[in-house]
Amino acid sequence: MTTFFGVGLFLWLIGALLLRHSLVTSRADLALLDLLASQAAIAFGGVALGSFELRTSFIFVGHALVAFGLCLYIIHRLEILTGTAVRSRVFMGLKAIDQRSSMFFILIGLIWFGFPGGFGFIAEDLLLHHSIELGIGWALYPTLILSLQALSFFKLYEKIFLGPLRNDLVFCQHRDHKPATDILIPVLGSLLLILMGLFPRLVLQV
Amino acid sequence: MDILENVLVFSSLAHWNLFLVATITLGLVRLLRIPYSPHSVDLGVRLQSWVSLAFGTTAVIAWIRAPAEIHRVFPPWFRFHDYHFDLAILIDHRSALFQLLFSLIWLVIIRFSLPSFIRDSRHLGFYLLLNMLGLGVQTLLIAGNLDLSFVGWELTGVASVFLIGFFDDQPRSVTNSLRAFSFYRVCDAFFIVATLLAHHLPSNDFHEFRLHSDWQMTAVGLMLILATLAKSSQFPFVTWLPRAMEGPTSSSAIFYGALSVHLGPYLLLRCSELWNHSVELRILLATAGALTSFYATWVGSTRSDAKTQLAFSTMGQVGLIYIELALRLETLAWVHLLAHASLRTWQYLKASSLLQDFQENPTFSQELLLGRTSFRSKQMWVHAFHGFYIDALFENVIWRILRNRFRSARGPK
Repeated sequence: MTTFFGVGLFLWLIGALLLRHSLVTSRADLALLDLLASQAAIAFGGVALGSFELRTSFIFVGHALVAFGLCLYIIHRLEILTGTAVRSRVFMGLKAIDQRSSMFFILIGLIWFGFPGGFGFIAEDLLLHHSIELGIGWALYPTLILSLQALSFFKLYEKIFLGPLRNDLVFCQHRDHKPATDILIPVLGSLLLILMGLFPRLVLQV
Repeated sequence: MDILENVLVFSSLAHWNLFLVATITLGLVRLLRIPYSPHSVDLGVRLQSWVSLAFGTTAVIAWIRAPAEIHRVFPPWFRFHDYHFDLAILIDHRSALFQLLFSLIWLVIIRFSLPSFIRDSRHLGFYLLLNMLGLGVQTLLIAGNLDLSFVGWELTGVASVFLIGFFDDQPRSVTNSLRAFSFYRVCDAFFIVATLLAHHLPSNDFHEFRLHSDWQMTAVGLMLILATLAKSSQFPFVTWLPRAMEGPTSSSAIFYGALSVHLGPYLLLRCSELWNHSVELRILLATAGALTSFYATWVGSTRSDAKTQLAFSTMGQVGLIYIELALRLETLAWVHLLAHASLRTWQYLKASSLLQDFQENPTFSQELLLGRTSFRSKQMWVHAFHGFYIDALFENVIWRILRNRFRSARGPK
């Protein structure tokens, strides 16, 4: 029992460190990976502490994985378009060249980090539901970390898409670049996450 | 009587649906790039503002004819084992009156925004965000429990952040929107804990709070107060509101003058049973309100631009509303809230034509100068000018650490 408790605390600490690392990492794909790993560490740390339920943790991490994949897809698509690695240490202003990607990136991010209407809201709500049973402190810690993860994601969005467009970016259209079909995966993915949020019974009763 | 109650429920729900449909429609048009004519959008939002006024007026008339507190519970949004997310609504005189105030302010804001955005390609995004705000406020107005209130709380927060960073090619706007978002996330964390704690009360519906009283209710009350302090820019979360003036003037008026900053006191009024019984919580509320009022009065007097001065004045007045709540002067707080929201909307909208007012009426500027707070010492003025170093504290303790970490992570070029 004590071992499990220790593992839980260790995972929560790892979750916090990964969250901090997501702010430090300048490569966008690594920052996203840090965020996903931080969420997984918090969710399964909570299971070890007896604060979260195992099944809700799997639901939570599962939906995060889908959203992470979609965001990563958009990042790689932008890297092909700009011919350079997408970084988060300076303003890149990529909204000016690919507005639709920026909209889907933030939409998927909002769903991922618990915006009402999407499945993330339900996953987060279910995950945290039992957390209060150990005490307010035990509930406040993961809640605060999960809230700050959204902040980290928003910072990433701000740095990649907003601000003035960088002059040194070289735009090389990929040979097989097809704008209409490229966006199909984010469209279908975000639609799936929204439908799962609006009709959660289909997922929760499996 | 039943017919009037049904009219009240129908108009409130129809009002909510009006904003839901508008948000979804504008969102789809923007996301999928469906071709549209700017004039059709303008016509749509104008029509929406009048329909909103009709629903708001109907709700108030129905409530006047049959004053009642209506509580309805709909089938839960989702259910998982023992947990269920209830969709409960509570419609009373406060929600009906706030709906009418909202409709009136909405009408004015739309009228003001139409000429401002007529040649701006971003007008669709602006109306989308405004409607998201409207949806959030409407959800919060009719919510009958903390779960549903949180949905409205989140919607208004996200819409607010995007409107602060509306001019997204300017780094300052974007950075300030991120700062506002950081405060919102902290207040969201407190709100989530309040909601989780409320799940363990015998009932988490607003109208049943008065039936219970124990330490858990006090804990829920404390978390809720902390959440509302951040949202209403009260002490110690006083630094984000002046920075939030980066957005379009009409959005500043509706967010920070009229609705967003007043949602905290509104929520506290709705569930006053959670904190009213605890002297400690009332002292906390009064202290935060008083400190904010003094801070905003002094610091606001040292600022030279109209919108920032108005931001500080707004904070000061909301601080007074918090003091009134702590003193259990609920009716006074309610009247103060409604009057203040109306006056501030007018002042924010008027801010952009202030120079013209000065030219037309030279005595106006003299009156403004005479009305300023006088400082007894220069030192005091300097301290007030620096915002009593609260902003610097946030800047040096939180933001600089993050910024330095970013710098060190860049590595060699």
